[in-house]
Amino acid sequence: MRITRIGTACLFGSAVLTALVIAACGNDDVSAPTPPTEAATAQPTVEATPEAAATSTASPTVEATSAPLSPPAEEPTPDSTPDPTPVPTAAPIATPAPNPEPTPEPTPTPDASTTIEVEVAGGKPVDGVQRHRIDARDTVTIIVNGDTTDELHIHGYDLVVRFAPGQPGTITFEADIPGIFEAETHHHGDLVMELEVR
Amino acid sequence: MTADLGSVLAHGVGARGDLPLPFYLFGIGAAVALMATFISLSFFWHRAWLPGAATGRSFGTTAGRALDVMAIPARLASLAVFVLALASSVSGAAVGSQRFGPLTVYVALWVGMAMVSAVFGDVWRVLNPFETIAAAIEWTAGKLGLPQLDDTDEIPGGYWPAAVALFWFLLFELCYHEGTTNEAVGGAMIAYTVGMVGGSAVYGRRWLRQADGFGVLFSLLAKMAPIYRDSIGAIRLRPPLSGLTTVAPRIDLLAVLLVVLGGTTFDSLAGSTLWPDLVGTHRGWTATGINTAGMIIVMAIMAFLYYLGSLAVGWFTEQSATEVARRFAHSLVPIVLGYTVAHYFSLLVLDGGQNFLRLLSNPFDRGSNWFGTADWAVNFFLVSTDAIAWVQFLAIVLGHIAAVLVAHDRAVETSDASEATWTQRPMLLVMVFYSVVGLWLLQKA
Repeated sequence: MRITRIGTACLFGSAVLTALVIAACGNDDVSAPTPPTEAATAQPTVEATPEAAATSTASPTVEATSAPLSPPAEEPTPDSTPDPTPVPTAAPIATPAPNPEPTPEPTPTPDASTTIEVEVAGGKPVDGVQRHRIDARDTVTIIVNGDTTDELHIHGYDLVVRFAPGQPGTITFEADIPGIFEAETHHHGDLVMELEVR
Repeated sequence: MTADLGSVLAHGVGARGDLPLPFYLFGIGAAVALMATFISLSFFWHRAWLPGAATGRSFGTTAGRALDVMAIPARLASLAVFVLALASSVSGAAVGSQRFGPLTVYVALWVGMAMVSAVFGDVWRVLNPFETIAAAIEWTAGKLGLPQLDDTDEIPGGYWPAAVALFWFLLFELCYHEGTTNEAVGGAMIAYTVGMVGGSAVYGRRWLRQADGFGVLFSLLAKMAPIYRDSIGAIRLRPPLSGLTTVAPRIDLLAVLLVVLGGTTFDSLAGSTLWPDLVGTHRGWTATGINTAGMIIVMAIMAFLYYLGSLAVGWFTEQSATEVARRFAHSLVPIVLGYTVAHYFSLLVLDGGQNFLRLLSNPFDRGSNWFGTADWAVNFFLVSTDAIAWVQFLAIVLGHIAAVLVAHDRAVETSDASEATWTQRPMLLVMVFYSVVGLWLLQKA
């Protein structure tokens, strides 16, 4: 009996230790291949996208895909930059603080945007298969450069991006389905990248 | 979409993969839970209780007969789905990127029936379309005055044909690069039907009990269920898991379980970030070859670990390893269920299961809407990703805890509790290893 208890205790300890060791090995997780997520490309030409978001989940939505076939050439974005009101006269006198901002403007989750650029040669990704982490509900733009004429198919979202040599394909959509999704070329059937939406 | 589209999915037909589990806490949690169970069993579980409980309480034969009547439409419905799936595959119909035949086989049958069996008992025995076909042939033969085939003895190979059938199925689903296309699934369904009906023609319906891999696996899972039919057709309730004590201690049944366990583990590996690193960007037959080798290796590792555990236990109890392996084979059943739930729960409730129901109304892509489900859009938010993570974790941990419990119950049949705990330690290590690896692979998803 005595031996049993001691033996069991030893076993308990060694097994927990084993678990810890394995856990530590496995804990290097994520973050290794997370190239350009949000921050990098947050500001410049966000305005153009949300219309073409192509969020539909069930239909193939081919029409929204690669109509441009050339980089969409950032719109001039004529508005918004020059302050709309030339501050008419009253400013110096009455209101000491010109922008008291009466509206609290909560701005819940600014829904950042992410741009992923991938280069494909002979149907395979030049930099190897990478996994891109995306926050759910971010607006994602995928740009595919390829040396052949092919299509990139994004599973789950069921989206297709056409591209050709010298004519990169782009697609913008809202990442509204959480999970891991593979993207692969149609003609070659090669895995190009994975999207991890969470 | 083109046929090659689904060809590269390691997960059969799913377009979506689960998010990685936070392993560090879960792994330790699992190991500690297993240990705690194991140790408390040595204090509180002194004699075999499950075998006595397995008989359960009878609800009488009337309810059983009522169920038999209800089974007839169920049989016909199941046969209809089978025929629809076959016809849909052969016709090559696809709705968007979804195809009804593969969804039926890989989602409704492989995942859905496995889970249903573990909860509601051996439902497959009723729904099995081959049983229905065989029964129809038998009935016709009887009308024609032909002699009935002997249905009592075992077929020569025991349950080995089932293990082989399941191995081929997993090879097809997880390794073959075109395994989810209409052509492949349609062809495989025809081949399987020929095998089942042809075998039944030679050996009688006992062939279905022993060579139909799905049937054998589902009947093993059904032993966990708290409900069953006894030999006179009465419905009986029993404690969950207790039915496992009635699983025959056989090597061929052990092989069935290890094949499925290894296959599911390989699927998890193939869906993790580790496997693409190994396979690289190989596709086509090269990928099929690499996957096949990988799956066989994983199955061999799982089997070898179980053998090692048996060997060590046998060393303590002075039994041969095969003897021990046979005696405790039934404890693998809850693990098989746990792995199935962990890996395929999200497929069943999200895109896979929902697309199956959607295409059930429109299997030929002719715009039909038989059951009003054709215009469903897949709701990916039916279950949150957090809920999926918890289901995965709990399925693996509870599966192993159930295995430890069932194994302990069998061990105390022949020895006292503390001695059983002592001799069962190698098996506990195997269980801890299985569960930690299972969770680790999910973390690498």
